[in-house]
Amino acid sequence: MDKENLIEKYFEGTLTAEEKLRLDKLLESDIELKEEFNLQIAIKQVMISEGEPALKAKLKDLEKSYRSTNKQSISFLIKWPAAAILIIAFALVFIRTFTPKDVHEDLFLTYFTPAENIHYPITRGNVDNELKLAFSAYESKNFEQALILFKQLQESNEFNELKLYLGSSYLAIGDTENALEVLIITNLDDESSRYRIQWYRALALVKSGNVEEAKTLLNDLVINGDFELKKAQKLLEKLP
Amino acid sequence: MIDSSIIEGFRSDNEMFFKNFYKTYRQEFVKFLTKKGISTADAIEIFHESILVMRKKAFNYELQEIQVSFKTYFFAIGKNKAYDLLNRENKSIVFITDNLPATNDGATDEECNDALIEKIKKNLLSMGSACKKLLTSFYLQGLTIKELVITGGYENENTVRAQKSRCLKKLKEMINKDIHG
Repeated sequence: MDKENLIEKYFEGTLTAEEKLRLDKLLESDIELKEEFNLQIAIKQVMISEGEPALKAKLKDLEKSYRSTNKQSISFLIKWPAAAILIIAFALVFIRTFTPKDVHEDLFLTYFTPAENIHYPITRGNVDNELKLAFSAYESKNFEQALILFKQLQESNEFNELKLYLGSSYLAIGDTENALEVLIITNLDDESSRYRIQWYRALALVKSGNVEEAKTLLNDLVINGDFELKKAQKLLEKLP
Repeated sequence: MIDSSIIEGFRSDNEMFFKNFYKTYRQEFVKFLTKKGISTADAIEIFHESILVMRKKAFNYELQEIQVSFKTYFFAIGKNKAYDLLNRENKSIVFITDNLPATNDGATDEECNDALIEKIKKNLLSMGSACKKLLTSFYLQGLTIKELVITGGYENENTVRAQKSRCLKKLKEMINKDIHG
């Protein structure tokens, strides 16, 4: 294996212990390689740090909502002890009855991220283009707005792949029922869409508690598919 | 061992993952530190910083090798951050019986030159979107060359390698131009 391949595997996170030792030795003896490697390390660190301000802001928001939820529940417990006891009792019954649903919900939340827009890249120009407006809303995570625009576009029957983004938007706002209605695999789907739609349909099925059907789709995805194979395998292992 | 779904969560910008994570660990983590004499405001700050450290470690494939549970490791990161804070304030702290492991909270074993980092930041911004997307997919999202063939619509692995190499070369040229005026 040549030096470039070792560096490639390092960044893919697939180096074996033996290969790691070889790379370390090479980096000690080859100054040019060390420089090249350090540059790539630095590029990666810059990319990691670019996401930090957004995460910091998100954590501050989460703290705010954590505090307000906590404050509300404490004041409620002080003001309405009898009601609080009833609610706690109801919650205990609810938890005992519906725990499997929580497991499905947790698995869905762990594995779901909105589908990446691979079919209709937003390019400069065509500012008023409806497709561009729809995907601008989608990529800014304004899923409600995106849904309105996607539905209008879908009426024209011009864009078959839109159902992937419609389904993904429905899932992002928690509307599993409608997501399952649009995420349907047909012969019209091209190769790049088919397994993406299958992945998101499987996730919707997990969320709705239809585990057996989800498993069938995931098994087929792992054997024949070309999208999210590792995640599909892991999800299969975790499904009850 | 740390569950791979947690590592994946930290590598993502999945809002629901962070929301769930916050709900699960915030109270216990802050309590753990305030019991040791850290103020609540500082404990919350340390909680946030520890999450950023975990994210960095997830991107740098450092979490796969951890032999203790996620919670043990995460709380040990918090403990070290608390030490750092109190050292800065010339106070002392005692964690007598927590049995938490030692952790390395640095971003990575490799040291990066600050001036180089600044130049990369600046020039990445002005790179073409195709190159930026390819480099981000490879270095940040950790997509393999094989996966890039599919997601990027390339002809084969060699085409991806050639394009990546061209993008790196271009970035290096921009950085060198920046250094030498």
